[in-house]
Amino acid sequence: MIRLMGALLTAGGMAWMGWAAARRLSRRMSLLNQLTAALEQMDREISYRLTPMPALLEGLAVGYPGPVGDLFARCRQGMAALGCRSLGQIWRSAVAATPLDLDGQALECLLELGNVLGQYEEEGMRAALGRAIAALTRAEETARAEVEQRGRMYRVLGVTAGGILVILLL
Amino acid sequence: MTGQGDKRYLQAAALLPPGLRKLAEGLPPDGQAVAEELRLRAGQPLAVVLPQGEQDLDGSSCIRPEELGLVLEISTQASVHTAMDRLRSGFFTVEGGHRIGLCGSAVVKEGMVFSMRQLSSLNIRIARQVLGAAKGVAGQLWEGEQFQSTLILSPPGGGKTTLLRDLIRILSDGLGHRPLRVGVADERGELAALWNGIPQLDVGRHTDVMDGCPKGTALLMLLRGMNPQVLAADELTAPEDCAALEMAANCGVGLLCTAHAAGLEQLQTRPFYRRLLETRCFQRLVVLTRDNGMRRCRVEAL
Repeated sequence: MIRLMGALLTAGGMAWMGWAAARRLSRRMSLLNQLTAALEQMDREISYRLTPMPALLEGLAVGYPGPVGDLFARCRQGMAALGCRSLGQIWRSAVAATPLDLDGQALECLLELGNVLGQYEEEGMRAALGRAIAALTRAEETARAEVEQRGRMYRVLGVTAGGILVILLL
Repeated sequence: MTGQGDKRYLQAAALLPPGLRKLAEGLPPDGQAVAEELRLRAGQPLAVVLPQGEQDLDGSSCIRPEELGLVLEISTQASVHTAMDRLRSGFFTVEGGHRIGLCGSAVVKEGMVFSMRQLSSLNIRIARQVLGAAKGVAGQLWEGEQFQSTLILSPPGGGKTTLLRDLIRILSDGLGHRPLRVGVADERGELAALWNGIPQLDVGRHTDVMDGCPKGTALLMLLRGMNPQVLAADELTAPEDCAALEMAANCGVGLLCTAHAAGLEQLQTRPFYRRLLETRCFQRLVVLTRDNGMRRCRVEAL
């Protein structure tokens, strides 16, 4: 009985590891999607309403759940130190402190945005936002492909590895 | 006044980065109460303009160019894009009505200033309200129960805006007469200094303020939308402003405006003012002069 319980737990654990790996990929895709949507909203706000940065960051912090909202909330809170630190520094710290699971060009573009936000005229900011949105969209497409290909593989691998381990142990 | 002066000075000093702010706050209270401007020039110490002239603040080291950028960032709350149209004209107004003038290397596109590449100096002009400045004048601008359209004249720095603001307040609050609805075209945000929709300077309870757009447009929008009894605007400079005023006068709305001129003779040399005078848009002229440092105010019937 104990051996059977152990085998089931081992199989379940392995399957869970596979599911967790697949879920991480999905979460990353969802984060990239939200971040892209937030930057698109930022672009619209700047373009149509010339919304000041504090109001803009506040709105985005409230409007987006999880790490994306946290990024804007951190940045808004950091603005209390404006004068001691530039918005660029505040933005980069917020990006570094938020678990956005970004790398490569997407992260680079997001960090670069800090050099432009609040310092340039509307056109300059929109151009930088456009570059960041394009990089994030590309990263999202890659993440989507990974979810489709590797997500299923991780899940199947988890279950299979669990099964094999149980057979070996029994 | 001293309390208000200190508060306004400190509000202006709060626009500086921490190191410079500390220096500015070190100015003695009597100096703070009369300070007119804070001046920042790259490579030079921080200076304050007092009635007796400009003086460097004690302990100030040379200002770094990036500190000028920080002032801009603090004063726009890192939202330069919201102030860009005003920045292009060389200044912008911040919370409290303080005016920041900019100087540096301009970026020109299609013959127009597009932005500033590098700032070289900044000037923070401290907004001060003198309640009661128009007390002695207001009573002379009425003919029985009818307010007489008034043009205030003086050379630059003569106190036109201060007098205009106080007149708006007196008319709007109905001090000494019935209150009037006053529409203010505050293109540069100096009269009411709107911040989050609330005037930072007292312009009266029955005043509607339109800021940030050209005076001519604002006057027409106020005329159409807010049913004003008096329309006020500072520093008429463009023919469009005068055309809008003429239209308002024809609708029976009283006018309260200022213009750069030493007197009526100088005003008459300018074609668009001449037309306003010929069409009798204004019935009173207030001429501000300085005599041995004392400000004098003369009211003339037109």
